[in-house]
Amino acid sequence: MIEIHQVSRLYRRGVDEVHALEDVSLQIPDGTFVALMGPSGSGKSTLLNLIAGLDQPTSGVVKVGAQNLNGLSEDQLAAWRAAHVGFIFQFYNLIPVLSAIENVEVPLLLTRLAKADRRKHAELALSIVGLADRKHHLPNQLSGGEQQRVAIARAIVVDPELIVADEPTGDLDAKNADDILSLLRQLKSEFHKTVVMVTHDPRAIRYVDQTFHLEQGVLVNGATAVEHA
Amino acid sequence: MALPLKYNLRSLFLRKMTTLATAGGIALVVLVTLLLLSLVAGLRHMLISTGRADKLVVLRKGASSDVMSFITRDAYQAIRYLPGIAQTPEGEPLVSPESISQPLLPTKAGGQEIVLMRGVTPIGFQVHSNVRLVAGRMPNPSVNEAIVGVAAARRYQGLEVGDSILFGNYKWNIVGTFSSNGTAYESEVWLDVGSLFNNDAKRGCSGIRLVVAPGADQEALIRRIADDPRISLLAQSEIAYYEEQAVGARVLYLLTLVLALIMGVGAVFGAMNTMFAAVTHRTAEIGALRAIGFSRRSILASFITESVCLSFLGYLGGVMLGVCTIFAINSLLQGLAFQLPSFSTVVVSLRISPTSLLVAFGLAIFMGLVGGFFPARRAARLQVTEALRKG
Amino acid sequence: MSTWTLIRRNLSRNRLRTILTTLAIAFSIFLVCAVMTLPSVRNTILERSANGLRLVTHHKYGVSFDGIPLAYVQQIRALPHVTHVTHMTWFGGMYAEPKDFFPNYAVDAETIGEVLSDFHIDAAILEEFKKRRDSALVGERTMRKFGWKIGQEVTLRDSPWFNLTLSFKIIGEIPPDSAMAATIFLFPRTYFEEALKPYEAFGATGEITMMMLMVDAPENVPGVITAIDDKFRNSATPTVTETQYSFIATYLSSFDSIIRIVMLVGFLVVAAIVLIAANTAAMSVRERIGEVAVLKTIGFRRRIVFTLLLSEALFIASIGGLLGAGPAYFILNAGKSSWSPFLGPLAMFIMPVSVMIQSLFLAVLVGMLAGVIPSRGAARLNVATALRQLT
Repeated sequence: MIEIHQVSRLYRRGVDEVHALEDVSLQIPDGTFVALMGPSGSGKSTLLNLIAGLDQPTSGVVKVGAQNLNGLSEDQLAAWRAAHVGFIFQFYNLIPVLSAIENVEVPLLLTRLAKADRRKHAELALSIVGLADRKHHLPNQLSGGEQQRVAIARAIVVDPELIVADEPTGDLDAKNADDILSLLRQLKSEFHKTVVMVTHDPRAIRYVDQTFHLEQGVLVNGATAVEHA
Repeated sequence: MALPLKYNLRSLFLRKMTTLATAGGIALVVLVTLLLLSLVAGLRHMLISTGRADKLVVLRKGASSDVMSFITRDAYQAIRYLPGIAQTPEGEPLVSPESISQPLLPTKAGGQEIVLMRGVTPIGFQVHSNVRLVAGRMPNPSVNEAIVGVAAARRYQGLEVGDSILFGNYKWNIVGTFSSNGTAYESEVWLDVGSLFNNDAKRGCSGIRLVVAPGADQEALIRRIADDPRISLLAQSEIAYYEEQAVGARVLYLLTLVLALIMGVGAVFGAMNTMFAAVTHRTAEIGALRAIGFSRRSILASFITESVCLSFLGYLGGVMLGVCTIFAINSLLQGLAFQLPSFSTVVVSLRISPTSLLVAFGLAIFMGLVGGFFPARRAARLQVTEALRKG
Repeated sequence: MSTWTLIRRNLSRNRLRTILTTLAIAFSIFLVCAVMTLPSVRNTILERSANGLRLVTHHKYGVSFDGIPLAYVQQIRALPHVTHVTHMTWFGGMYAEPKDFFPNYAVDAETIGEVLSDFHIDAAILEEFKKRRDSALVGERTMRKFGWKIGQEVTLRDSPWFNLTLSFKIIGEIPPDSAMAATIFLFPRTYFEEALKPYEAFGATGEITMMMLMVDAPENVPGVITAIDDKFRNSATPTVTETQYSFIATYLSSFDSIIRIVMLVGFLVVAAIVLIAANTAAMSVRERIGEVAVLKTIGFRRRIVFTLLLSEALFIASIGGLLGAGPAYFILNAGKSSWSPFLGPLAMFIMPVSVMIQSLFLAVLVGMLAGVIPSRGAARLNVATALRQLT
């Protein structure tokens, strides 16, 4: 369960204070796939960063699972992320000098796994996203959809409970976008991950369990449960 | 059509840290080059200006300096009345027999150095006519008095007017301090030994300095001394003698050039890095310029210009640092001590010569050209469409 | 894959830049090696040549000032705690050109082996040296320089002692275990005295340049020094007695200011590489800021990111250091046979292993200095802000 309780986030831009988030409260149950939606500047990415432990709220409480994220130091947050959160970005953000399998292995460098075990875990993650046969390719030898799958493999390789995705389909065509969204849905249904995604993509509605709409830093609709066919 | 210089200068200004770091590297190369060349120039200037065209140095054949020389009284007498030697109004030949010794004297900094001590007779002060008193008075003949060069007085303990030093079996009172237009003489101690051959009969004198009469045939006099079978002596012009002593300067000069070149190559790699990064960073910009219609050639020229500007900036910085450092060494340390091949120590003031400024300038521009050429060529070779897409 | 893979791959990311930076460091470290060799050679000469129990007694104003009476030797031999005494007299003869200078001394054949035991002269050869009056022992380097062989007759000409010219037969070679031994030329004093006979009237005989003596124990050294100098304090020829270490140090002290400027140059060279390398490190971090943000996002802590980036700089610096110091070691040691009158005893330009180690250490330090600021900046990057700029 992710609990956001009366969270506000202020940024200082020059002399002005900008309210990126204002008094937002919401709950996301474990094992659900939710979308954060809204126009740009609505605060959805800020909310995602708070949930993922990349940022701290100005006020309010962020709790993910048993962990209250408030007041953790930067290094404590980093350690928590390494163990509990997988990340997916709009532009994949793979390391260009590493092959697919090596990119997937990167988060495992932070674990105590032996070299051979790291390789085994990475291969398993790659096969889950269906790219076992392309493991030695460098990112620039892969298509956008393939790169995003490698990024998903990298996100799940340490088996985190929470996956956060920031516009994962933003740079993909319709076909690839559908593939990625169903893969994320699969993570939820088969592996019981909690998946939180920021998106503009109207297609996403068909895959998620719930959407939260933000506008100007305020949650406008609470939770909208989505009916699945 | 060429791109305006302003474009390059603004680009350099935009990447402040990188520009500063790279120009700083070049500035340090310039500084090192300038420092060493100034030492060379100072040393050369001192030694060359010490020698005068109308003076001859007479030494025993085979001796490379006064110190290694030895001339008997008979040989001295044989030389004294040769034709072509200038005389005082009273008719005394301007021939100065000199007894050189090299005592170790304590420096004010606490070390010990070999100092040249020149024993002269009264005529010596007329032969060395460029010696001027700056304090005290000239020594009186035959009463054991000495004068000290300004550089020596500054550097060594116990050489102030009023102090005394031991030489031979006598105590010599220092009565004056002299300057000599920054020549090597200023690092020496001069004793008025009166009649030299009475005091030091054992050895005769070390060397002889003499003044050639105006209009006399100097070459003929030199030949005449060399060809005299009785005396086995060799005369050379004082300029040639001190050029010989400047051999260290030549070695140092070569050493400096090698050092500067190797260091320069290192800095070229640094400049190349910066310029390559500049090209990569501005790929889209280059594409746009090409699209507007600037030619490959003007792109090439522009990037080379930028690199040369960078190295020129480094040159300016290096010269400024150099001038300050040299000023500090000359005024705070009172110059550097340098040992001549004859083992005597001379105090050298560093000297920024136009040549060393030019050599350092050449080096800096060279670094800019070489460091800029390959990156500029890469920029010029970019495909317009490719480059534009990178934006 | 391991962390090392990540570092390695990052280094090959911009291969040209890595190579250029490595080369810049290599060239500079090469220079640093050359520059640091000078003072270290000075110290090596001192350590190898000097024995703490060996003292040198010479004229108060130094050996190049005047000699001391031979009669002093017997007086000193009688002092307590003095175990052996020998003496040496500067002959100053030349072979070939005046600039091909090497030290040649007339020595007491009977006692020289006792005092200069570290010359490691073969006992049989020493016996022959005592018997044959025109025999000569020559240092290995001088032998090699002139291509002399054992048994060869050589003539040294034009000594400052009345232009004496003497011929010798080389009977043995002195191994180059110390700087002093390597170039020295020794012959028995009896031969020298004979040659001086005709000049006895000038007081030529009975003078030596210096005495060398051994003291029985270190604690007696100060006492012996005072005893000797007190003995002759008020005589016509006062003496200074010092340890061999300080005696040699004085003759090297004239190089100190050159060494100082050379060290300044070395420091500037290092500063230049730090600038160049820091610039590279900063550029490569800046280009990769997005990746650093991703690494931090997926849970890499500050320290790991810092270590990762710093390792790159350290790796480049170490490789550059090896590429500079290795060749320097071979190139500088290849030139050890050449001799320059300007450098004097420092001409034995042999780069010791310690300089290699120091310069490698310096290279690592350069990597550290160059890498620490950019790496720290990247490690402290605010992820949320960096990610926003990324998308």
